[in-house]
Amino acid sequence: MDAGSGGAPPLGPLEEGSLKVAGNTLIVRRFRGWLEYARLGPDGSLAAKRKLAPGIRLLLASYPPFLLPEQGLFNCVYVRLLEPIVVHQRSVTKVSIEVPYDYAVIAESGDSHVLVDVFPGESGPPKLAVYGDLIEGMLCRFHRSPVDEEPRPGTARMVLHIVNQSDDAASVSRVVLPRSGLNYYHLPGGGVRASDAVMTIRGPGVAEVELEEPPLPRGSMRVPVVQRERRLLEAVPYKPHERLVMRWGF
Amino acid sequence: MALPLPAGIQELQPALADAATALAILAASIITGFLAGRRIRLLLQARVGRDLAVITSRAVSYTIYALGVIAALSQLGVNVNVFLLAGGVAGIVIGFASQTIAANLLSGIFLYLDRPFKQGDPVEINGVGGILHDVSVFSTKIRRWDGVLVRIPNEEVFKSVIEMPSRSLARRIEYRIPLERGDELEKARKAILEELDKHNLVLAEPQPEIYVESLGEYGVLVTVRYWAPSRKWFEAKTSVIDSIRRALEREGIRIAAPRRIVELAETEENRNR
Repeated sequence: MDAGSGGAPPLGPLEEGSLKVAGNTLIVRRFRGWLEYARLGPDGSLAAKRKLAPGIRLLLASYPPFLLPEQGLFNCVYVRLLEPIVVHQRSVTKVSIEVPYDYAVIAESGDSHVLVDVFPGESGPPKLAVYGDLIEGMLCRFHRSPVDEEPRPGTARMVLHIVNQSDDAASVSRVVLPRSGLNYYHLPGGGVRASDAVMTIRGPGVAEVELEEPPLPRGSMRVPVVQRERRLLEAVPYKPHERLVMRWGF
Repeated sequence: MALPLPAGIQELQPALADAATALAILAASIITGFLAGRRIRLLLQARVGRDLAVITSRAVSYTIYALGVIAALSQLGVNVNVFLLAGGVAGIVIGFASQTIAANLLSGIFLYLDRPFKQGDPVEINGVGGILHDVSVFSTKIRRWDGVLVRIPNEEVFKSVIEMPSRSLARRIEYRIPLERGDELEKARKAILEELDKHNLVLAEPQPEIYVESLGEYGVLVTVRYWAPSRKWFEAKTSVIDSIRRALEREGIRIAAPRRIVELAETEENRNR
């Protein structure tokens, strides 16, 4: 089975057997009651291997893109819109964009979720970009997104509400999303949905971005936060609806 | 009814009172100096670091002790002007002798206050590049890239140009690639850009740049510029150049070797050869 061939990825519990995901082969087998997890990279070489004690469940999840080895360098997702959107002054516009995700293999034991493995999704090599000033700006995970199109493999759909509170029409060509509050949800019919983003334009070049829980169909599953990230988020005062101020233009 | 004191003791009474007062002054100065020092150390430790906090607190304590001693001696009738004069002269002598130490100490204090870098930062000071190991009161220690620990006096650090690459989110990396054939320029540009786009350490923004720098003995000299996260700068610099080389080889684009055209002049000697 191939999760990267354009269809919805088989997200959820990872059962015994092998599974193709974004060019990688995930192999799960049981050995003397223990679970053995291995991942062969796109070139066929062994990229990860873990043993899990009896009773631990494995989950495959589309995870917000903050866990790859470069994690710790950045706390935001920078989405460059392939087509800039021009919005009226004193108006509200709603568009659909895509945000990238990485695949995370998570060990689930009761309420505890531990990261077992992480690898990039089908959205291409995980690129980074600087938003704003080189000294005071932000280093973010980067993604080029079409507007109002079906999300491509390796990406989740996000609804972006643009609230232009300024007295001038504005052209929006990029949006920067904060790490805190960016949640992904597996939808029952397949596909991945991200938190909604509300971008409030305050004036020339300045906007605030806030993330909100989207309206979800029954049976949707929120991707659990793994312990490593939970600790990181708890290290700073965590707010579920974190705001990010874009002060270097949008 | 109180008994009268013997005559000898009566004569000693003012002197005993002075001695008691002097002892009280001394005790008060010791207690005050100790408490003030401890309080200052606690206050400063979190803000300016342990070393500077200890030195400042000790300086305050010793000053209070010294003032206490002078006040106590003065109470006993000792002429303290002599001490003050001697102290002044000693201060001048020590000042001259320890000019460098004082300069290093002051520079250390200002470095603590200015905090241009912190432990673990990659820095380059006076041409010495490496990881900042420690900033003490008199010197700054850098663990050079080759592992050798280098000590630089703080005065020199304070006066030097300091490069702090980790303070910037990204650093620019530049390669100069000589192409043998000018007509392969567009093909090479496309291949290099595609390679840069595939590499996860090459930032998408600021965007990479590729341009012809010069036409010369190496053929067409192309400059490739891109940005990488500061913390992954070396990793990017060493891995991306190899990716570019492989991409150019895949496309059959040849990198020029240095060449020089030499023309022999028509001389009698050459004709005879």
